[in-house]
Amino acid sequence: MNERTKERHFHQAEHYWASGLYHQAIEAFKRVLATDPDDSDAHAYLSLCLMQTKRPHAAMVEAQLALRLDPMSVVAHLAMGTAALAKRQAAAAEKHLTQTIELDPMYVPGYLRLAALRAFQGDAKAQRELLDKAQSIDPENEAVLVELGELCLSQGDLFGARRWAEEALSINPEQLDAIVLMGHIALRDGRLEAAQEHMIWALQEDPTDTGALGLLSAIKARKNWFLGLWWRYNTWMNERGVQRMIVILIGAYIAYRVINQMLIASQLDDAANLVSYLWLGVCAYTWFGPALFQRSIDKELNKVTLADDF
Amino acid sequence: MTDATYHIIDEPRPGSLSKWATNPFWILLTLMLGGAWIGWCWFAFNAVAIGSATLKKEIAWMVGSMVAVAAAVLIIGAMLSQMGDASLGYWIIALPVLKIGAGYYVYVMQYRSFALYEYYGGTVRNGMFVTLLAFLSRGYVYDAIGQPFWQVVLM
Repeated sequence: MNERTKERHFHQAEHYWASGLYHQAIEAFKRVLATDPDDSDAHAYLSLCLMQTKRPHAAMVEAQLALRLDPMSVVAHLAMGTAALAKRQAAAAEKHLTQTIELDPMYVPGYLRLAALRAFQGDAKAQRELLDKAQSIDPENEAVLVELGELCLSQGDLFGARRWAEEALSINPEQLDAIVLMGHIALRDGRLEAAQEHMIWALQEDPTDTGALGLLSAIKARKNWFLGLWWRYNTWMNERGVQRMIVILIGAYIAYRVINQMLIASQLDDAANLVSYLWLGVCAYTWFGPALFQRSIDKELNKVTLADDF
Repeated sequence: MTDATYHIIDEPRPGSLSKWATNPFWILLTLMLGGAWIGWCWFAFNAVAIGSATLKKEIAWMVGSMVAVAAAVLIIGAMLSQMGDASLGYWIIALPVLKIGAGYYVYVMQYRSFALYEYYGGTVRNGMFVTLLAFLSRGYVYDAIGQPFWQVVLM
């Protein structure tokens, strides 16, 4: 009875996972684990879902549990490597992702994550080699084609990026990441309307997709310099991780106070006031920027419709 | 929160105080505008209310920052005779840095639990009025504390 219930929940969870419905998949994997807390695969997939919903700490714990239960599990090593990469632990990510490929040299997700690690390390050549290897294993893997396209885009090769995105779309015309990639290519090309159409297309497929929402944000940022500035600032900060972000903010605060104190000591009260107002302005902007940005995106989401000729 | 009994480590476990939970953004703002004492107390209360997964860590950070601020005040006080007014102005920058730095770190920790708490449909109260009240009553609280040492540590 228990085994059958567990299997049912597992199939449901896998279905959600494959459809990219990560929140639903998390709940389904939790139901599997409520039935059998020692299911290594459920822990590993739960970890991968948690990574998709930006919960790296919990993902790491679940990956560790999965590995403890089955040290030879390919998915558990993949989950552990993915979580380590998210926590910027390059050595641990390297170890587990290499192990993933050693355990199963035909496992494409292993190559994809290792390629992501190489991207993190700034080694575009090794990243390309791993993606080529992944493509040679599974030439029709849409995720690999999109990754190849994204690599081209990051190198400014718009033609190459478009070619890979179109190839992914020729295999699956509903491939969300490829649609989003096409939107980014159009945006980089200065074709704002085309980017917007792709964004709408992607959001109509899945309004919660982080890639599609990212494209929407990028388009909004391009249209409005006030929000664009906040978007760039926020992206730059997020790339640094929480601890570094706090250090940067505290550093900026100390710099402001020291400059203010120096100006007061030099009896330049007007200049000190000006610096204080500027600081206040920056604070207000960073406090209210996210709320304004969210409002603007929500407004955009409410009027998502495709042009008749798209 | 869910019919499954499996509990993921970062998921909050709200208790009976959850009806008083608020967005930690308001608490951080209160810490800056109304004084550290109310920010520290409110962060601790909110952590209990939402059943934060990092409850102990958050409280430890709050207590630690209070101890650090008190220690910094004592050190600056002991060095007072050796430093001029000009350098004192720079040294006291350490106090708001300690308070806001720790407050921001706790905010980041608590916000993760809060986001999940909110996602699962937990009640959220608007903290704006408490923030305003703390800001407007700041002067009265400062006077009520009386002792300069505690005024510097708690405000």
